[in-house]
Amino acid sequence: MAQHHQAFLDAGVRLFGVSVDRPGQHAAMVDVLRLPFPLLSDPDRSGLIGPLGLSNPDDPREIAIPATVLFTPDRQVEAWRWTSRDYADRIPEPVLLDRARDQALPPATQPAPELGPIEPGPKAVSPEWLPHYLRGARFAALAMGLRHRHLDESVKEDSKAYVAEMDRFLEALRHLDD
Amino acid sequence: MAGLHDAILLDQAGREWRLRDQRDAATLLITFRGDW
Repeated sequence: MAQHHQAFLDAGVRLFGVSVDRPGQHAAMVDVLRLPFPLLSDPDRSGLIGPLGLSNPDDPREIAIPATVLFTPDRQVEAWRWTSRDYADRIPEPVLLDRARDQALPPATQPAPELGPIEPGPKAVSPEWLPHYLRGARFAALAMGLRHRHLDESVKEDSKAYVAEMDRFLEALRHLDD
Repeated sequence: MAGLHDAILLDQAGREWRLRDQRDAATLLITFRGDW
């Protein structure tokens, strides 16, 4: 999403991330991933996550279900949403950009996010380990797809999709150094 | 169809945001699991 930020602004759309994490954890994420848009904290899920029906009842912390929701400028109407099955099941940005351009809005601006105190949580992956983490996830998805390919064609397709998503994440990481 | 309501949330710098007030552009909200 960070790589396509300007394209979304050109389409009149500002980006905001939302999770249950604290501001200090979000500061760490913005810093490591060099995100060009703000991350908002909804720790008790009462602000947006719950009202939008995106609280995950299957998670012990009821963290947010990964989703992408587009709101029109009047802030009253949800124009479109994609609800992911898990964090690796994200809609490709070009598809999302087409949806944004459908709104036919004038270009928007969004200042670079300011950072507060950086306080990563205990599960944060350090920047130097992030590529290894993603390669490990890619390898595991590939292995599981091969191991269970005889069960159902959808297992193989899921594995391929997961591997492709990890490749996209790795490609995005390479652009951090540009 | 849900709206953005009147919620005030803090960003990574501790700044307050009420997204409903951002009326000059569309908003793309990306929810994620966090645990960072």
